[in-house]
Amino acid sequence: MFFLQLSVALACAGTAKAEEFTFARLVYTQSLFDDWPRWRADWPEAETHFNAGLDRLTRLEVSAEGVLVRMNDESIFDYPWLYVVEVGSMMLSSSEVALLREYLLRGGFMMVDDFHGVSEWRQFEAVMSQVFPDISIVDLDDGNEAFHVLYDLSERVQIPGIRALMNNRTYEKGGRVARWRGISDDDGRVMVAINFNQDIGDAWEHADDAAYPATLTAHAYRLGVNYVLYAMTH
Amino acid sequence: MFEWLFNYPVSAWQEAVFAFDGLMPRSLLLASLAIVVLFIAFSAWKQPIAVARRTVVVALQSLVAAILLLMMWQPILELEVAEAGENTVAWILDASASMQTQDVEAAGNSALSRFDAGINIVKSFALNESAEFQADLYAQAESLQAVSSLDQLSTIEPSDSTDLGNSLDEILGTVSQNAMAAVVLISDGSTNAPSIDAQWWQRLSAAGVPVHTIGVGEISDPSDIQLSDVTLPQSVAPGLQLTATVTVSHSTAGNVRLRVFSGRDLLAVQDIVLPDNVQQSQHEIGVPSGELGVRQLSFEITHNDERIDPNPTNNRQQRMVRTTDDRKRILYVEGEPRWEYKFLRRALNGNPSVEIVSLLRTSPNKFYRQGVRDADELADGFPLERETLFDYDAIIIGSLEAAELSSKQQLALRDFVNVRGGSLLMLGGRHGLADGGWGRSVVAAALPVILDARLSARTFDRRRAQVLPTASGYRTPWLQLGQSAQENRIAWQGLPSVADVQQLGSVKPGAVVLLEQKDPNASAGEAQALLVTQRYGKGQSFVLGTSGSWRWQMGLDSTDQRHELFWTQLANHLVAGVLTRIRVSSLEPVYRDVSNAEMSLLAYLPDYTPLQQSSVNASLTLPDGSSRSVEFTADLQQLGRYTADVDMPMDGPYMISAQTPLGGESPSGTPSVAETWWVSESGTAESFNNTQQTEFLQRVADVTGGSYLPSSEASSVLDILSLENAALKRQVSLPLWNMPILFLGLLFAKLAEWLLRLRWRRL
Repeated sequence: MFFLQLSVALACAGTAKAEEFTFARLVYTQSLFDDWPRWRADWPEAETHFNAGLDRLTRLEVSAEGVLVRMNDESIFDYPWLYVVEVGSMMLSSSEVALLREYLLRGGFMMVDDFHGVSEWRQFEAVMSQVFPDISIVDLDDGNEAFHVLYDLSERVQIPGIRALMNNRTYEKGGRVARWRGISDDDGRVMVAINFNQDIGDAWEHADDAAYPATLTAHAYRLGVNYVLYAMTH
Repeated sequence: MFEWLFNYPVSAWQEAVFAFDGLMPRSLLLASLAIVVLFIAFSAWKQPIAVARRTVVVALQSLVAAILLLMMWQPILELEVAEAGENTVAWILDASASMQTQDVEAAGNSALSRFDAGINIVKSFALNESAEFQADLYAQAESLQAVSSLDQLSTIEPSDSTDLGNSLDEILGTVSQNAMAAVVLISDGSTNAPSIDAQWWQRLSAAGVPVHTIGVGEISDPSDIQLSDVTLPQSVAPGLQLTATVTVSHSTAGNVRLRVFSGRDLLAVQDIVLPDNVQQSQHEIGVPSGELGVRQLSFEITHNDERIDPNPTNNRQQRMVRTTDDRKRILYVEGEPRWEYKFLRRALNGNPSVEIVSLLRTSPNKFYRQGVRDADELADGFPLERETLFDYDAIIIGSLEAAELSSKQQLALRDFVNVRGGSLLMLGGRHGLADGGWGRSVVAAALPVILDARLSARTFDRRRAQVLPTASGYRTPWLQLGQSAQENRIAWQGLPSVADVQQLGSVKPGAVVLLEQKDPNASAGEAQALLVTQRYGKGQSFVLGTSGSWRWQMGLDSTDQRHELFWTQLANHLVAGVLTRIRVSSLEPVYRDVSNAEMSLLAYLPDYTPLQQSSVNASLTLPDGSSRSVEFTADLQQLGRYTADVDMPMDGPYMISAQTPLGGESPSGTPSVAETWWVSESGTAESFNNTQQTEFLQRVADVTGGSYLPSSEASSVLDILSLENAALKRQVSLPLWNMPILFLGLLFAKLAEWLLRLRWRRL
């Protein structure tokens, strides 16, 4: 069933959706020792739920379904918004690194989510240092426009995955402190929004789950809406 | 020979009308001739000679009879000639410094100066005893001077400038007093005072007096190059290259070096190849804009080979330029978040000339503002007051329904174009153009297309389309994406397709379609208008039927600048030429050897109705740094226009500035400041255009009904004066009965008959 969904979704990726905004999720390669496709975490419910919220809360014309895109496909340039999860095990070939760099420099925006702990951070940092060897990752301060474009999010909370919540924790893999980080271009535009030690996608995915606290879902939605509007205004 | 045979010169025969002075009608002449010829033929019939010989005799005797009859009928030439002693011809000799140039061929090896050649012409023809006209002599020096003798004329001091315009105005003003037949202007045609404009040419033509021009001096000098003009914007943003267009006059091909200085600092150097077979060529040079402030730029050209320029003074031009961070403001209103919004703002982010102020409706209850000056700007959404809206220079409306604006705001938007003279660009979108109800709004009148006005209009379509310029679009400067026509065509053809288009409706008469869109997969099919523009009132409106230009940015390499270039050029064009509250300008960028400069000032109230006052004050800054007030007085011919004559007591850069609030207006908002700069210099006017300006002299002659003569043909001037356009003329009848040709004809006929009869032994 999963492979059927995947093949349909990837087949659709090459065709531009008929709405202004389409949620694009990055399909990436990962370590050979990890047999579960980590890019698909929370897929497709996370974007389906989030898209509905985005449509309701903003004036944006939103495609109800998301698309899956690979970093070796020129169709990625049809989607200036890109979501990628579990980047702690992401690996990119040199051509994918070049394409991601080009994507971001042309004006694309990438939201990174759902990775935790020092080990996963190092892996992600290593990948991004290949993409931008001369640009460092920095914490986004509370005044960053990404936190204010629609909702004022000066005070943010750690958004946990549902499994951590079931274990009465808000963190996993030792990543106790939530970080909102970013990679900006020369003009200060955030190209990559990095949600470290958090699982925003889980909050979107389980928005209809009574076990997941509504306040955290609301925070996750607001943060996602802000990121989208930031991506579409900066 | 002709004149000896026919009594009068060819010109008289060309000008005159042939007639008979006698009372007998022409028909009687013909009848008489017929009777005489019949009589001769009848008489000859009786003579016992051969038929051929009889025919010859009849012909010769008929010729004699015809000549005698013609003489009896008193043939004449009727001619209008100037009344001797009753007409005045004003002879004006140009006595400016350029007339001292020694380039008029003379006997021997030495060349005469143009002035001396002019003196000779006056001496030979104006003061010729056989001249039918009274000659009034004038010299054009600092001003027009009447002179009483050739000696006085010879001692006139050369002047540093030439104002032939004022001289001819002055002399033609005396037509009624002097019974002036004509004016003869002896000059090299090099006039450099700013009195010659379209009205001057009209006055010259209306005076009704022929001005004959005699050109002195060489028409071109192969070794002289001249920097004739430099055009560049008066202000430029910092960090940019300003492009100056220089016009070089030259009569031969060659290589020159162009340098641009600011004081002693060399800003730019460029080697220029001057093409052959043209008198002037234009070239562009980039000059760094430098730091904020006003600079006096000096453009200089020199030969890049062994040639020595005989007149280096005309190789230099000075221009004032201001580097400023003042930016024109474009208000961009968007009704929903769209990628086009982001990428449009991004493309214009680095534009130093234009500032984008945007208002984006992000959610049903929220607007997001970017680029505002302070917390109050656009805090209440789209401006409610006309004056606030009119503070912007251009407006872009995106996917925004017309109903989101009140009737008053819509009216203000239309008047933004019509009255304020701003530019309006409307973009395609699901709530834009016809789908947004704009076809039913008052704004529709301003748009260059007739939008679908139906409530059910659905013209926005998300489909792929290739965008290409029309023939007009390819020629439009602000749609150039390549350096050459070929590169431009390739650049457009290589753009990725957009993914949404909007049907624009029919194009209004007078509107211009600049871009078209077409399905990229369709092999045939008609392209449809995508970017259309028209003038409306004092401003200009544009419609761009897509919101998909962002795909050019995302679909091309990140180093590709076509998307940025498209929006930068379009934005710059939107704000170029829009009205400003106040504008002051000088007629010339450089005034040479004149003591005053004419300035004009245009002023509007905040609602852009013309300011109606008797005068407006401005501040003049002199080259020595001192300043004083200048009063501009109202131009009665044009509301809102004011003029002033500014004295220039010294050489150097001058600046005039005026600012709002204008007299009687209460201060509000950001003051609008207008400035202009110019340079005054001495001793250079006569060095420019100092070869013979035949075009000017020819035109003066043409518009007045006179004749242009090069100095080598100056002798024709007397004939021309006698025969053409004299003010007081009389009709003269020149008898022709005594023409030698007639008597020779009689003699020939009778002698021929006698000789033939002698030969035939039939005397």
